[in-house]
Amino acid sequence: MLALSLLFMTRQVTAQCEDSYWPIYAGGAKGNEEVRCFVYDPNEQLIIVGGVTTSEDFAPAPNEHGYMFALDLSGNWKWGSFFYNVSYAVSSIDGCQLSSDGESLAVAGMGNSQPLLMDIKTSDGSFNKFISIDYID
Amino acid sequence: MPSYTQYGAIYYDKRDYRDYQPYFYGAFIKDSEMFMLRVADGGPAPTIDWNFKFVNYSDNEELVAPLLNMKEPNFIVPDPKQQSALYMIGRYRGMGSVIRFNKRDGSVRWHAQFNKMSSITSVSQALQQYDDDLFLCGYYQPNEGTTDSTTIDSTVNFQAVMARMKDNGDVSWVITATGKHPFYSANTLEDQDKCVGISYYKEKEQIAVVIQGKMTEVRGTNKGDWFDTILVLLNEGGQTSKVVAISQGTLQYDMYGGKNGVFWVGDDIFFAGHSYGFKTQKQVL
Repeated sequence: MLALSLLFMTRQVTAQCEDSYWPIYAGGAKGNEEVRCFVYDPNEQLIIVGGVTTSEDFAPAPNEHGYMFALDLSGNWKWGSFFYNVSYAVSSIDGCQLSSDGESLAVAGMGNSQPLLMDIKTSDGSFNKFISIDYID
Repeated sequence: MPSYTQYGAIYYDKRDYRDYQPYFYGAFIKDSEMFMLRVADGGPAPTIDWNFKFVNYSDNEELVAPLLNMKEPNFIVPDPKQQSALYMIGRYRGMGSVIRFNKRDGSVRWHAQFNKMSSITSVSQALQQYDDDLFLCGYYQPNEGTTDSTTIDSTVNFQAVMARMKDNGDVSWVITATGKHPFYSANTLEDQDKCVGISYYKEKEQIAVVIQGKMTEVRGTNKGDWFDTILVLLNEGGQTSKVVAISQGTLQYDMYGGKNGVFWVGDDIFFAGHSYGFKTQKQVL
C-alpha cells in the first residue's frame, strides 16, 4: 500500500513539473523570429525548431539570420545555433525533414542570396553536409 | 546574379534504391522560374545529377489566367510504399499542387491540382510503409488575381483547407474551414483563416490541424482583430471531433503559426509559431 502511494505521488509531481515548462519561448526582444522548420527526431527524442530572425539579441546582427535550436520533450534547452560559412551568414532556414534513415536532419536555407542544402546532426546542431547551389556566370 | 527564393523543399535520401548512393533533392525559384534538382553526394564533391526547369507560361497565357506563373516548392517528401517516387508539394499553376515524380530522372508521373486551394503549406504522412495517404493543408484565396488587393491585408479573403490524398492522386476528402472576421464587413474585413499545420496519428486515427485564424465561430466573444492559433482535431474521415482556440488572454497580439508546425509525440500534440509570447493558464507574460 505504501509503495503504491509513493509511485502515484512521484508520477503526479513529475507530470506537473513537465507541464509547467510549456509553452517555451525563444528569440530576441523584437520578437522577430519566424518558424519555418519544426520536426521531432524520435531517435534523439528532440524537438528541432528553425527559421529566420532579425533580432540582434538572438542572432549577432539585425539582418536576417537562420537559427535552429533543440528541446527535449520536457522543454529543456539542448542546443541553439546560428550559422556562418566563413564570410556570410546562413540568412534563413526555410524547411527541414528527417533524412531517409532518420539519423540526421536535411535542412533547406539561403546563404549569400543562394540556395543551400544542408544536413545536420540533431544531437548537437553540427553540420554533416553543407552544399551551396552557386550561380556561375 | 539571379534572384533566388527558397521555400524549403528538401529531401536527403542516403541510400538510393538503385545504386545505393546518397542524393539530395531540392527545389527553389530562380528569378520567376521553378527549378527541381538532384545532387549526387556519394563522390569526392557533390555534383548535380539532374536539374529541371519548370518553364513559365507565356505573357498571353498569363493575361488570360493571371495566377498561372505563381508557384511555391514547399516540400519534397518520399512515398513510404514506393522507393522510386517522390512528391513535390506546394503551389504550381497558381493552385495547391502535388507532383509525383521519379527519383531516377525527375520525370513527372502525375500532377494533381486543387482548384479550391491556393497553396499547400503543410503535409503529413503515416510512418508505416504500407500507408500511402498524404494529409495536406493550406489556404484558399478565392479572389486572388481578380478583385484582391496585391497588399495582403484584412480585405483579402483567406480560407483554411485540409485534404486527404492517395498515392494515385485520388482525393478522399477536402474540407474548407473558415468563419467570419470579428468585425466582418464585406470586402473590408473578410475571412482570415489559413491552415499552417497538419499531422496524422494513424494509431489513434486522428488528425491534428493548426489554423492561424480569426473566425468568430470558435473564438471567444471578446477576441478581436488579431490572429489566434486554432487547434482542430479531425477523425480519419475528416469529421471534426474537437476545436480549441488558443489565445493570448487579454493581450491583443497576433499569433502566427509555423510552417508545417505541428506533430504528435505519443498522445501529445506539439505546435510552434511566433508572436510576442503565449499567455496561458500555466504561464503569464
